[in-house]
Amino acid sequence: MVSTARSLAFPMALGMLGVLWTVGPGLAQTSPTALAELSLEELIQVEIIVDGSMEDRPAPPPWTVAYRYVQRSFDEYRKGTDAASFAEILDLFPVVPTTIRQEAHLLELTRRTHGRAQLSLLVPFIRQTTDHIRRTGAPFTLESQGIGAPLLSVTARPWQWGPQLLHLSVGVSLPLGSIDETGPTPRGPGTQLPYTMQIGSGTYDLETSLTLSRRRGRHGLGARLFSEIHLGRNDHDYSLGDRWLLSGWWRGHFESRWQPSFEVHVERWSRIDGFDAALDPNIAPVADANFFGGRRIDAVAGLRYALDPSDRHTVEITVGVPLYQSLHGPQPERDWEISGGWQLHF
Amino acid sequence: MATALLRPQGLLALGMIALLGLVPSLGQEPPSKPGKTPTRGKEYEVKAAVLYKLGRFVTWPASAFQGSDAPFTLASVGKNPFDDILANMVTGKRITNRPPRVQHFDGPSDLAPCQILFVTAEALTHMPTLRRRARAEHILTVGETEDFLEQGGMVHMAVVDDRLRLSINVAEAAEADLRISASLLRISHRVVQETVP
Repeated sequence: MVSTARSLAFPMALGMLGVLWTVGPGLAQTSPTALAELSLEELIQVEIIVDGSMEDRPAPPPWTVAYRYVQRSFDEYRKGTDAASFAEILDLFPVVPTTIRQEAHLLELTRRTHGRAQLSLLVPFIRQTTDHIRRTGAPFTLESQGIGAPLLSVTARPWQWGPQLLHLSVGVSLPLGSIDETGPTPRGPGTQLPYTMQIGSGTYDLETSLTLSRRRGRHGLGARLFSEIHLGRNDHDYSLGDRWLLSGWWRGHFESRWQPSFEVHVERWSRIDGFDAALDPNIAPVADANFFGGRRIDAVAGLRYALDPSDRHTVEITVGVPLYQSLHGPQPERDWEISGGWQLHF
Repeated sequence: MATALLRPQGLLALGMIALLGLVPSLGQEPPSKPGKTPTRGKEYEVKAAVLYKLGRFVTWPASAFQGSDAPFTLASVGKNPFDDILANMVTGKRITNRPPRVQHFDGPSDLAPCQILFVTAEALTHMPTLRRRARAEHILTVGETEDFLEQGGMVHMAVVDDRLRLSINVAEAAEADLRISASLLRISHRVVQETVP
């Protein structure tokens, strides 16, 4: 009951925000005389109404296309906050994944609509490789790859006051990523791969985020609350754990096109609900639905470069490492994450 | 891979999203924070106010003026986007302790001495000429076209996310013996330190 209430807290808060937004009062337009009394700093915070006499003025680019490559590596094990060696895990399971590498190619197309809302479609391509050792026999490697769950999302027109911007985004990912990946496991050829090797969740997933950002001079600050809620169970009668992420960041806007950034992520995700009957939980920890979920704090450093002066064409790289991990385990712990992205508004 | 029955929290989450009123609110204007600071303005009224304010953040050499009592001239070249807005806005005011004057020029051939020159898109083809004149006559050039700084302009005004974003090329301004204040640079989105060829 408590966990249900917690799961509801964020959607309820968003609901109240939406109601507030809907019934909120309109803005009064400012006279030119009043504008002349503002400071320059206040003027650059004034919301611009496009002048009807300048209909031939170029409209903001309605489309955005973005590509992002993400690679994560999981190495070693943790039970709670304590490290667990491969030897300790081998005492419990006959097979132990040693290094898990996840790669994702993310392609996103965004259309800005009337009223400044945005509709997005994100399609991932996922590739996973896992090296294993076992009590007896030679080490082996398993691979899986495929198109993951496409995400359809809408981001509402930003709510702005002063230099602060509040973005609300709601999306649904479709259950098109495979949960039927099989491979040559020690149980035999063509047997079901563990949860970590599947491409999708097999469920409709609701992804919601609330982002607050603020720009002051050369410094940008922001915070984001993100949730991923898996709706129902998939065809294998399990549901991956819901995920909550709170992140905060700083971004520098200095004298060049380079923009450094630093982020801290606080993430919590829950255990798998149900289990896949095609898996034997006694074979390896990643095949046991109980050994999922946990908490992690990551530090992420990034660098963005604007390829044109108006920031319409940018590239960015990030590197993230965990500062803290507490896992329901034994569970593989994240070692690092890198990403590279490209974005074009047109 | 069809999903089975939704879990209770999933159903309730969907219900709350439906209650968001998100779709009908997408096209609406967001509410403002009550207070004394106005929060909305027409594009060229805001840009006119910024032109008027820029004079406080730039230092001109004495030779930029034709005399100690000479007016401070705000001008535009190309298709005039301001109509009478700028002239009405500065009436009765002073800029750097000088009476303001507003002028409009169709092209560089009829350009008269001024301190701030707003270069519209129509006049951008004359940018090489305007740039030479700006350097020689200590004119702060301000523009709104995307590549204005790359064309040799000094101050770029862009509307991004419904807000005005300023970018400054201090090196180009220095070529005209103009000194940009640190407080203007601090609130600018981008500061360029090199002149373009």
